[in-house]
Amino acid sequence: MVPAENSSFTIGFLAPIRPLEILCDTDAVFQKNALFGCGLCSVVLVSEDAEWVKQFVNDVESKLYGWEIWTVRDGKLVDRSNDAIPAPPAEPAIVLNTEGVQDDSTIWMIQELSLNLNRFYANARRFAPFITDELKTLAAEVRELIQEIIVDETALFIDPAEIDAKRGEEGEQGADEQSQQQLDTLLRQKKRLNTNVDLLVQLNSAFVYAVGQAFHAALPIHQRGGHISQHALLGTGSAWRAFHRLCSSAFAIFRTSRFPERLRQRLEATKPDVHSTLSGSQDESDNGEQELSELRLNTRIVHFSARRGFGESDGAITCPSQALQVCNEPEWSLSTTTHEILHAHVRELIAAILVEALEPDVPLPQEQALAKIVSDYQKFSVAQKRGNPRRSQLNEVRFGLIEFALSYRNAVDKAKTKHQITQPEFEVEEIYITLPREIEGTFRAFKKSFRLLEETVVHILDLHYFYGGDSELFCDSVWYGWSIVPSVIEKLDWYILRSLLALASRTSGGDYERLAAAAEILSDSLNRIRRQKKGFVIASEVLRRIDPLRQSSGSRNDSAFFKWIDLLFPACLPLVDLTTTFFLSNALQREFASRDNDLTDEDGRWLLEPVDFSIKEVKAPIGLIYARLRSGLEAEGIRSLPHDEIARRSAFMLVAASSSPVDVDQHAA
Amino acid sequence: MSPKLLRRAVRELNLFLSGGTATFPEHVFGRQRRGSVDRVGNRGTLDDEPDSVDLEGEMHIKIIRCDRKNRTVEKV
Repeated sequence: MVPAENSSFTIGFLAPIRPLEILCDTDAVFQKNALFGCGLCSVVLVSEDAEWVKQFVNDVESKLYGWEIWTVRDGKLVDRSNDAIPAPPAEPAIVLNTEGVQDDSTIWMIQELSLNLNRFYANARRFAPFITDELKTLAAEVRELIQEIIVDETALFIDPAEIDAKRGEEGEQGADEQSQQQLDTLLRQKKRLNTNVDLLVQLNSAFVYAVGQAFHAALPIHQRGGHISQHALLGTGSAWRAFHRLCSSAFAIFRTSRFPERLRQRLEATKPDVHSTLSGSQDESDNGEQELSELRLNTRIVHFSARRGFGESDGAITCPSQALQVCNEPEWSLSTTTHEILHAHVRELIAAILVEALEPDVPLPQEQALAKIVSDYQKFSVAQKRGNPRRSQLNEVRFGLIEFALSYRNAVDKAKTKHQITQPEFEVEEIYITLPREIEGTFRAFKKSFRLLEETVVHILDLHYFYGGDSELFCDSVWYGWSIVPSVIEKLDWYILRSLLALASRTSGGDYERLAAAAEILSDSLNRIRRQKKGFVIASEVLRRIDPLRQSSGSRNDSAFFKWIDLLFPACLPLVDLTTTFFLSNALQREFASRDNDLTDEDGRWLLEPVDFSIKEVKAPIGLIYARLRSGLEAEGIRSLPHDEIARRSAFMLVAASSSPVDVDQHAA
Repeated sequence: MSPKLLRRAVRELNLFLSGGTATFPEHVFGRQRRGSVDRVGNRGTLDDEPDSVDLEGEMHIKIIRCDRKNRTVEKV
C-alpha cells in the first residue's frame, strides 16, 4: 500500500525473531500491506485499517522481539505505541575492574569498553539473546588482558635510582649482564602492553560500530541513532544478525572440532591418558569457567565497515557496508566472509604448532619458542647432510614453516636480482636456501613471509572447506571479489601467486606441471568473467600475465612476471603440500559439506526465486550464500538488473540468512 | 592443550609478529591503518619484502634448481 500525501494510515513496525516466519504469510491482505527490509524491524505494515494492523501484531506477538505502531493523521505522526520496554538494569551486567591499572588513558579505555559492552549486552538480552553468552566470555578474556596489563605496566613506572643502586651492588660485569636481562624483560613487557592495550582499543572500536548496527532502530525507534544514513529510520539489525549468524555458525563448528588442539596432540603422538607438555589446568572445579571461555575462543565481533572490502583483525570481522545494497552480486557476496573467518582458525593452527608451555596455561614467549625450533632445525639440517635425519611429526610441520620463510626470502631476493640483470631466456635458475647467521635474521624472514604464509593456508582451507574443493567456483568467486577492490591492481602478481598456490592444492605432478594446471583453471575462470561482462579490465590483465604459464599456450614470451612466478611458485609449493597434509581436516571438510540445505539442487544452486517467501527458515546460512553465489556467477553482468531490484534481492538474502530455525536459536533465561 | 593456553599462544604469536606495535581501528582514522602485520582487507595485500640475503656465512640448507626451459624443478 502506498499512502497518498497527507493521508491517514497506520504503520506497524515488527522486529521478528525469524523474519521469514512472518513474511511467509500468504494472506492477501498481508501481502498487500507488508514491506520487508534489513532493519531490526524487518517487517513493516502500512495500512489505512488500524484495527487490522493491531490485530495482526497481536496474532504474531509471540514471534517478535518487539513491535511499535505509529498513527499518521493528515500526513502527521500523531501517536506512537510499542510493547513494554523493560527498565534498564540498576547494575551493569558485566563488570570490568580497573583496580590495579595505573595508566590513566588505559583506565579510560577500559571504562569505555565496559560501557559499550554493557550497552551491547543490555540490547542483546532483548533483541539478540543468542549472543549474550559470547559477550560474557569476551568479558572474561578482557579481564585476563587487564591482569596482564597490570603486570606489564610496571615497565612504565621504573625508578632509575633503584636500578642504579643495584648495579653498584653487583659489580661491573654482573651489573652489565643483569642490566641487559632487565632491559630485555622491560622491553618485552612494553611490547606486550602495547599489543594488549591495542586489542582493547580494537574491541572498543568494534563494539561502537556493532552496537549501532545491531540495535539502531530497536524499540523505541525514534530514540536511536545509527551511522549508515540510508538506513537511518529502521537500521540494519537483521543484516547485522545475518552477518553474525554466518560467522557464528562457522566458528561454532571450529570450536566444537578443536582441531588445532587435536592436531598438536596427534603430532606429539601422545597417548590419551598421558598429558602432553601442553596440558592446561584440568581441575574439575574449573570446568564451568573453562566451558564459558571456550565459547569465546576464536570468535570475533562483527560489523559493517565503511572500508571498501571485507576484513579481519584480532578483534573483529568486518563486511563492507555496500553489501547491504549489493550482496546479491558475486563481487560483493558474503561468501568472502569464510575467508576472513579462516584467518582466525589458521592463526590458531600455527600458534598451536609453535607454542611451548612455560607452565600450565602459560606459553613461553614466542621468540624463545621459535629460537628453540630454529636451533632444532639447524641440527636437523646438519644431520640430514650426514644422512641420518630424524625428526618428529611436530618438527616436520615446524621445520616446514621455517623452511617456507627461508625459501620465500631467498626466492624473492633471487627474483629481484634476476630482474636487474639481462640474462638469456629460459636458462636454469638456482635458488640457494640458506639459514641466516643470526637468529634475528630468521625471525625477520618468518615475520615477513607470514602474510603470504597465512593467506595461502587460508585460501587452501577455504577452497576445501567452503567451496567443497570446487576449483572453478573458488576461482570465479575470488576474482570477482578482487575485481572491485582498488588495492589489488597494484599487487596483481601476488594475488595471482596466491590463487595459483591455492589451485595447486588440487593438482599433482611436477612443480611446473602443477603451475601449468593451476594456470589453466585460472585462465578459464578469467575468461568466464570477461564473457559475463564484469571485471573485464582486471581479468584481461591477469590473462595477459599468465598466458605463457599455460601448457596449452603457444606463447614463449619471457616476461618479468613469468621469470618471477617461475622462481616463487616452486619455492612456495611445499607450503601447499604441508597444508593439505597437516592443516586440512577431513572431519571439518565433511562438517562444512553437510550444510543440510534443502533449498538447493544437487549442484548447490538456489532452487527458489531470488525473492521467495515460501520458506520459513534457513538452516544453513553459509549454504544459502554459496547457492546464491553460484546463481549470481551464471548471470550476465553489467546493469542486467535495475538498482532497486538488486537492493531487494540483497535485502531478502540478509533477511533469509537471519531467519534461523527454532532449535538453533538460543534465548536468554 | 587448554583453551586458555591456546588463546594465550595466539596472543603470543600476534605479539611476536607485530613486534609490539599497534594497528588503528578505522573509526579513529576513517580507514584502517595497517600495522606491521596486516590481515585486513579483501584477502590482504603484500607490501613487505624480505631483507637482502647475504649468502656468505649463512648455513646452506638446499638448492631449488628451476629449469625454466625444460619446465622441471629439482630440489637438492
